[in-house]
Amino acid sequence: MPSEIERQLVRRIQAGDRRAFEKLLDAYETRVYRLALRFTNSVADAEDVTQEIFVGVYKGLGQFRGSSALGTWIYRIAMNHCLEFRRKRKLDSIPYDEDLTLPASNWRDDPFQSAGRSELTEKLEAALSRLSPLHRDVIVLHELQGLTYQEVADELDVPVGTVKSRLSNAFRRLRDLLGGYVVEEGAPV
Amino acid sequence: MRPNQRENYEPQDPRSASSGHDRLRADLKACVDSELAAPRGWYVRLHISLCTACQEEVKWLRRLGENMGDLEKAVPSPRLRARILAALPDNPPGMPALEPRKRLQWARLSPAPALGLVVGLACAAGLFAIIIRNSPKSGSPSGEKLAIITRHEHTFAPEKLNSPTSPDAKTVLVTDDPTSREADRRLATWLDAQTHREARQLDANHKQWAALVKSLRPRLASPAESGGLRLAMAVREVDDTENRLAAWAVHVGGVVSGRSGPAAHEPVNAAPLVGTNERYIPVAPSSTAGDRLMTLRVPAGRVLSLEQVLTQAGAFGGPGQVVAAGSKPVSAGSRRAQPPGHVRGVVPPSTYTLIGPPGAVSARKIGEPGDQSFARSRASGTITLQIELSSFVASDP
Repeated sequence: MPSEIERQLVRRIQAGDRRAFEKLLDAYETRVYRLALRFTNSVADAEDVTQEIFVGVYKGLGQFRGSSALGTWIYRIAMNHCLEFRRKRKLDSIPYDEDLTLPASNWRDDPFQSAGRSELTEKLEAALSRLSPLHRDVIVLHELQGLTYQEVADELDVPVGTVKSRLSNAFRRLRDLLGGYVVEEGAPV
Repeated sequence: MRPNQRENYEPQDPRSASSGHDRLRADLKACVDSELAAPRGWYVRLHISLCTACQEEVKWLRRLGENMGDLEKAVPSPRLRARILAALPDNPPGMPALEPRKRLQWARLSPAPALGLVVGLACAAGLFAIIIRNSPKSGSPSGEKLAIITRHEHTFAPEKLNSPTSPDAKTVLVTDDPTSREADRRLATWLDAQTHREARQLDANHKQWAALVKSLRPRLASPAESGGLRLAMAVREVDDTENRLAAWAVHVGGVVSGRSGPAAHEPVNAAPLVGTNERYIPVAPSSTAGDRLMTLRVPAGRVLSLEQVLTQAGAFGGPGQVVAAGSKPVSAGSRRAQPPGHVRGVVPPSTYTLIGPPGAVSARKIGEPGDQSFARSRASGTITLQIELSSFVASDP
């Protein structure tokens, strides 16, 4: 979102314009929801967390001065909520030797399962869920959310070098988890 | 496997035996993501071009990254939007209250005591911040002004504070109110101008470098014929360049001596310099206590060109015409183009001078055919490289 449009949008929201806030939701709701889904692994929880995030954004815009980009600021709020959710729920990586291929009885319990997903996608999702939280976070933020290394470092409050090494190790771990499954060029996802 | 082992899990790759190669493999992902700074990035890319194992790993990393990029397909339901809007408070957020700006981060100074003059060193910008006690007639209630000058300002006189400053001036900023937005703005403007000036100078260096290498091509020959070379380079980070050159030398099976740090290997007797034909572009490599002279003795067959050595040292990093050894120049748009700034060629046996980014580079032949070190190098199939490193400082406008 261009900075001038962003500033005007923020001013309108600060003045109480709900339609302006809906435009903000148009720009960021899906991305924040996907982030929340990655951290909660539950549609219901992801919706709750997303709602909390945007209520926090709405209230916090009263103190937003524009020292950072709006998207960066929203993302910071979203990450804080997601990390807090995980701290409260004490979610951890699934133990190494558990079978993850059991189908969910209700698709809502397994938000990443839907009709028509390829075998590769299923294997990737299973492998992701078996990563440690530290590895999974950097994968989610960099590979799935598209943040740069510096942005990931800022969100996780770690040095850039740590992000680099975690990503490298995470990919090696994924390679081991995918085992002999060869990711061919041009293979459908 | 215990949980704490899972966190640091890293499989052992039987294909790589050296710890140096393992460390480089840790950079492959960052290289694929274009997250490596220019010197290190060039070194890793050069290694990839020479290592088939790493080429395979890079391919796998790219494919997996592309596949993962397609995973995010979840979309929120329409009811979520309704929930969010219903949960918003009735009162509007309101505007932020005005607050005094905080003191500039580059000059965290306490007010001067009765001494009248306090100098504090700013952080990475390399600026000096000075608080001057002036007469009560000045703008601020305390009679103090904040002046920020560059490190190149060797003399400072309080009367200079009265003249207006420009973005290129040695005296960057004079203000009665260091907490003002105007002070922040002017300092930020100066820093931007500084960055652009250095970028323009580097760009000019790159173009001169590419043109000079192209002009030398007809006279280039194998470096193995010369026995050795001495290079003098001005670089930004002497420690980093020294470490990279040493790592490259060990990687290709050579030895290193004459370093200022640990891990020195067997000493190598260096031949005296031949000729002093040097020409520098107008930068000023400073001769400081951090300057180094290192000697590398590497298998002659592993040194394809002077440019390869300089690539290790991070001397390449900007635009320039690509030159392929033994062929016509290749434009950046052709299928055979190398990354910008990557130049391949062969080393001339005679005395010559190269000018390359980020500072001046000169190269001179070591020894004549009758020289003992030359004969020793030829007999052992090695080539001796003496590399003199000094700090690079961009010249003032």
